[in-house]
Amino acid sequence: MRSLLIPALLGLVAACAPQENSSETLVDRALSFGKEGSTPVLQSIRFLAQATNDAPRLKGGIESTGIPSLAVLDTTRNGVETWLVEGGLSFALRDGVMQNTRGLKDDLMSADTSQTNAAINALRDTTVQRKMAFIGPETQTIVRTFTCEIENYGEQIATLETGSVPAVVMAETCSDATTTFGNLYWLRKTDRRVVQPRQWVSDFIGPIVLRDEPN
Amino acid sequence: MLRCLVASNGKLTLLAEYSSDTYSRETALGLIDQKSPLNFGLKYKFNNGVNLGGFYLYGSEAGLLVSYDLDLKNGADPSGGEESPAALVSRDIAAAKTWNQPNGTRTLEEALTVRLVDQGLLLEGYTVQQNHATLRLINTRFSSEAQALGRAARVLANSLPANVETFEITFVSAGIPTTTATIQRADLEDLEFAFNGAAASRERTQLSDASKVGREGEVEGLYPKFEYKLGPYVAPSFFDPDQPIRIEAGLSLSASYELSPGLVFSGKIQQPIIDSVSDSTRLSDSVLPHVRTDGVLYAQESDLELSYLTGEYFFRPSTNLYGRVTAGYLEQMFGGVSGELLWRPVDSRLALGAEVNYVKKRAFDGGFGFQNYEIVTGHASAYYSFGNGFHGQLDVGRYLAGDWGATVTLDREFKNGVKVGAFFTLTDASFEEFGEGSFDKGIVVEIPTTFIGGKPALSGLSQTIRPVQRDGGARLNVRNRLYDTTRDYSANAFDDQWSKFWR
Repeated sequence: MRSLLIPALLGLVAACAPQENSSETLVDRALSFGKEGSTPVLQSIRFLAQATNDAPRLKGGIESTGIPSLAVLDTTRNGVETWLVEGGLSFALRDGVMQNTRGLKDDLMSADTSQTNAAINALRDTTVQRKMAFIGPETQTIVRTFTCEIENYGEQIATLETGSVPAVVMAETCSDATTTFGNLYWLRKTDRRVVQPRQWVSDFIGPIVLRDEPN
Repeated sequence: MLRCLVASNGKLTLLAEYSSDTYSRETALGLIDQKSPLNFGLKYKFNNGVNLGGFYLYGSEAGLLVSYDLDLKNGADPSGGEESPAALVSRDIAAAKTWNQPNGTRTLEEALTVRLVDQGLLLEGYTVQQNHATLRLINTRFSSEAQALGRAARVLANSLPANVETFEITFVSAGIPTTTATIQRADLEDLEFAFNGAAASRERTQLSDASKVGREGEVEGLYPKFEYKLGPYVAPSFFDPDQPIRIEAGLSLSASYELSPGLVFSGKIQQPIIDSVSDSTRLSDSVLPHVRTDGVLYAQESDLELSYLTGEYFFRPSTNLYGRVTAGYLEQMFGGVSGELLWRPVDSRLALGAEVNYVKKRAFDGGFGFQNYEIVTGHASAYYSFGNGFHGQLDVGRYLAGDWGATVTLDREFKNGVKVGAFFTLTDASFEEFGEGSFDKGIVVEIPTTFIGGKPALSGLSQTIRPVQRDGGARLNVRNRLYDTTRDYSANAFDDQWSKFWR
């Protein structure tokens, strides 16, 4: 059975959208994130060097703020990409799925998304579990286990800065005792690379939206 | 008295109270003019913890109230406000750095210094021998030593040649090595993105006493070190019946000259600009030697005052042992010599200490003179970490007024660095001899800057509050006692904050 969350999010976004954008869906909203654009602020020498050296780029940010930022690829090690964001932030992706964040004040410290990764790469509907670790108010490690419904939402055109890309949208609806969230992944049809994800990070931060950027 | 909540929407609250108290005594004294038994209050609670309120009392008085709700358990940012650490690079990238090349344009020492300073860590010394590297550092930034360790380990992993497998990172405090953490580079590489990376990295890290760590590989030109600081100071005084809060505030200039590791000469002078403490007319009526109750005289007779001027020597006599000797003008009211030994194994919850002091009372003018009062004081101390941030301390010995007794202290240090504690002292000075309050007692609150602003910092606010300052049960206020100087480097302290190792 398809999760009701994603359609609900789509409906909520549509209901709350300005009248002139009454048909805006979550997908549209995610796609439009940062379209207005802003000049990225280069904060560290490393960030500047990577940006200057034509390192791969992403554009995105915390969805609730609507403020876009530029991220540049710093390192790739053991299949995990670490991306630097202007302002002393960073995050790590494994095949497009968030593994950790740093510098966000309520960071995702680590995540076990092996089942999620396998399912979205296979483009199949299934139920998986994911674990996410955070730091609590007394500096204790808090581990949360979510049960997630993975659903193939079909083909869509992902409109990126680099152009339109035929993609498949995979939706992940996760819940534990206190929280329910929805993630979206646009996978490029040609190589199933995640070119645009919307992923929940933590209670305080909420979803982060990312999109491939041209170098 | 009947009080009722008239209305509240969770943010705005209206209170009404009927008081049957006629306040006849207060009215007779002219303190209040009660025209009505009805009192009203209005309070608005903002999301950021600030409360703004107004009240109308006795039918004759109105006022405003601003308060702030402080949740000491929860800081500003759960995972901290510091910027992201550097990601680990592959070994071939680290090996290709210019300082690892035969004709490199930078040296490894330069690279380590710059990279560590960028993290708020000061390099004292390092060695690299075949597949083994040692590092001695001072953490000037992170309230979590585990986080400082993680940052230092990343710097080493990203800087050293590929063949270096083992890192020994020693923390230095007060110029002396305290604890060494031994980490395998391969474990860092394995666990950086592991889901259980924090717990697994603690299992694979060995913590050991660093008493044998010497000065090999010390950064050239590091000593002597000279530092100074000029800034404002505020010294509040509480519970004077004539004026419950008195303030002395002004400018202070402090300087320190560290001749070699652990040998420090330092001093501080203060110039009050605002001083309501000296306006007090309450002089001491204590029957005990006036070792603390002449505070008003010190405030009245001093202008530019010498807060302290000392020579300190910190040393490691043996494994698990720490030593301190301090001589000079030790605090505002006393000068002399203070010696201390502390036994504190890295992985022990228990620590034991002994301190002996010979002191003379300083002149009221805050200068270089002394008064005709001298005494030998000293205590044997036991410290115990109960876990979950609770610490107990028992000090038994002789106090400044010559009385013998014991002080019991219990404090809770939250993992965000906030500390709240309480203490009391009972001595052979009777309650009558002690005077008002019967015995010495008080509370201590320490709030690190990290808690307020989320940004990493070792500074903070600290205040001891006593209902009344008397002379019984008074200890010497000597700086840098060993337990406080070293307690963050115990295994328990590392364990409490280990979740931040990868942060």
